[in-house]
Amino acid sequence: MKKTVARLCLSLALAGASWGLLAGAAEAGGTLRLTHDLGMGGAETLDPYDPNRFWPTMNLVFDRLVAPSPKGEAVPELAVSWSASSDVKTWTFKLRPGVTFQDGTPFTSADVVYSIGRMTDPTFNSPVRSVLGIIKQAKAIDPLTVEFDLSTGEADLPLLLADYRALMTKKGSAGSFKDHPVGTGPFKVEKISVEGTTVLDAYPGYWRGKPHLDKVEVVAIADSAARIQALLGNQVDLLLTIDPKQAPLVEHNPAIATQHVATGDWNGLMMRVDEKPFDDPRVRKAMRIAVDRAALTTLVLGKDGGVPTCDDPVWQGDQYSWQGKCGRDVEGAKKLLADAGYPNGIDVELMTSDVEENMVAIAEAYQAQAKDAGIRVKVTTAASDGYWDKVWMKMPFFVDSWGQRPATQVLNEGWRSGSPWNPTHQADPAFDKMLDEARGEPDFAKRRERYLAVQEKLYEITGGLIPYHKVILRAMSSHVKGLDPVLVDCIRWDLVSMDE
Amino acid sequence: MIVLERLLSTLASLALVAVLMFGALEALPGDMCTSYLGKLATAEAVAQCRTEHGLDRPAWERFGRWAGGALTGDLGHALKRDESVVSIIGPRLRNTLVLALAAAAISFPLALGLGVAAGLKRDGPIDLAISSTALVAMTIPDFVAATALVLVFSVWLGWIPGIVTVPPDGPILSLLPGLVLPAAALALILSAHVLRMVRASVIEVAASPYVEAARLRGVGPTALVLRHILPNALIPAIAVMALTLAGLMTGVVVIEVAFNYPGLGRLTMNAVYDRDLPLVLGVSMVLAAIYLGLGLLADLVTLAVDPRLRSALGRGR
Repeated sequence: MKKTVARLCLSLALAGASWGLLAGAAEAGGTLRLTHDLGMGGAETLDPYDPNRFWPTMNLVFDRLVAPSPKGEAVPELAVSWSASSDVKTWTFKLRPGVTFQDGTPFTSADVVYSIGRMTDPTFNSPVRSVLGIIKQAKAIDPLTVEFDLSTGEADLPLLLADYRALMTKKGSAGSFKDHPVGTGPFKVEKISVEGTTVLDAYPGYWRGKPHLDKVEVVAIADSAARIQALLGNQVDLLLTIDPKQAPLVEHNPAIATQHVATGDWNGLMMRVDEKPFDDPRVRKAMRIAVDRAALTTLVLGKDGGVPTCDDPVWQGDQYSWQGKCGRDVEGAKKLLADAGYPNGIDVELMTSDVEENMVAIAEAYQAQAKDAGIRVKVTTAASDGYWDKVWMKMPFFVDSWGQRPATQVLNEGWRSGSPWNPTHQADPAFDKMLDEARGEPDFAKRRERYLAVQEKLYEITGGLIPYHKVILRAMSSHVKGLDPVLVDCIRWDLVSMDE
Repeated sequence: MIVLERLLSTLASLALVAVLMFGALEALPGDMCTSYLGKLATAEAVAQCRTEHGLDRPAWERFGRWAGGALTGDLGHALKRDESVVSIIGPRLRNTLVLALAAAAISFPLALGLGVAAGLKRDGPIDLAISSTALVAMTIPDFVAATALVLVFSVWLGWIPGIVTVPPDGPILSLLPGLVLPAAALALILSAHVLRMVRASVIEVAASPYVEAARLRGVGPTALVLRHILPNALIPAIAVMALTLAGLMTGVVVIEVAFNYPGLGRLTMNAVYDRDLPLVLGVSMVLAAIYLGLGLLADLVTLAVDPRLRSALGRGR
């Protein structure tokens, strides 16, 4: 009875709202209202290379040379084709002819050189420099041809250029991002109001054709509960991600549609391989095989909240995904511990923090499971403030959280000796050599074989327990059409529409 | 004399708040640079950021510089938002004032009327209904009240927007539709407190000898209430109202966050989250000044309307 009343009220409200829409804008198109979480506290800027980039608008306004396909391949965007020298250190990219910026000027190689220059400028400190810093120089060969010289062979440069931050901006535009940013994307900025509502208009000259929507509004709502309220109250149409715990609020509502999007985001328990007792590979392995990954995933993320993995930072959607199998082996773990000199089990301290979602839950779930193998875990929750500064990569055993990256990037950033963001302090020359050979192999099939071998080797030696990759939940009004269940930076915004 | 004394003690309290706030923020682990640059910050980047924002200077030096500016009305420059603290706080203070005044405008007449009614009909069915409703309203946490209001009026009925989507510096008129629910949520809690205070005060005054004397002199019931009971019962209520208003100004964090209202409360949350020291200090000082200022005002008003108090203090000296 109560439900019927609620539904009746809701449909009345919706009927009123859609009538209003019909009266307001008769022609097709319409406005899509999405939210952003004000995560940079109002310091958001439309400069794609700035650490405080205004992320939900980025792929609406700007394009990349290369886009990631949902399968993890590099597909043409502003570049139509590319080729490399045999040592994969020199790359030539052909640009798409006829592309214009939103102010009408043509997109050329000079803009690429300028953009890459800013991304890799050591004085500018852009986060994307960690990915594209291997580009020593970008040269314009002719208006539609660019050549990149790399400091090291990288067969997957196109994948690195598909990074969500490697967006192309106009030559000389450094000072323009505050007031009138210009990109080649499907929507142009009409009004920037980071703490209110930012308005974007369709760019009719978009190279893929005029977008279906007329407008996109980006509404700032910092609180996650308030965002759900806004969706339920029909004040916004799309929440790109919601907390899985909020799923029951929207799941059985006929006015709301949800999408599950598999990602390469992960949490992990990181053991430093240069600290006792984790300097012994047997201890590390025992710590890892004591876990029932499927059960742990459900426990921490909820049903359908994640995909179990075998300590593999490369996610299942990547074209180099290894997809190894790893069951729980409590007896095996006990035996490994006994061999390593801990016949009566082992005591460890695990540092965590609620600096990000799930980080405390995963520590507690691990504590409960590991106990069966005689691993006694003391969970210590540190202040979220300063966690990345004082605990992360500094303590012997801590909880970590990473976002999705292509195989070459995550393996080189996280597991190569001496990399600045190497959470387990892994330093294994044989592993590095395998990684170099994989990265420098021009032939795709052979390269894939090598990357699989790299991941298999990693499973043997790693100090990183990575039990799952996350699946994010997206919620939207059932009026939103044409939005595929893909990551934000793969969304084809020009194809999204609102039905009446 | 007494006014000057109260003024001085208010200023001393403000100074104390500044020192305590600065010390507390200083004692937190990490700083604005580590929180701003986040997980992937290199040591050099953090060091560069600290130098850039003067965080490598000793704490007392930074406090001294800040306090010196504050005395001239300059609260410094926010670290994360590239703007002066005063210009960030300005429009948000305005919005919070609008919200507080709207809540007060709904709740004070309501609370006065109901409080007097309940007090005069003490223990009768009217009093019972009013008092128990007030008790329930007082015990409901503000976020529950906010959620319930949104559910009914925004999600089910679709009458009023559930959240505000206006930027902090938007025109006041554009705030109005979104103002209704947060003001109602605040008024609900506020009314209950004031109502109970008025009721108690009315009961006390009604039982006092001079009201009894007036009644014996043959003063009619209306005149008795308007001329004898109300003025005397209102004196303590004024103080309570001023203090609730102060509490309202400073306690709007939950409500503002829940309704996405662009005021000081939401700013406080964000500033603390960003570890933006000058901004947190600035907001705290403004809120403390309002709180203490309204307390001072309440005292002065009480003093002005209650001659007994004045003479009692006068004699004491």
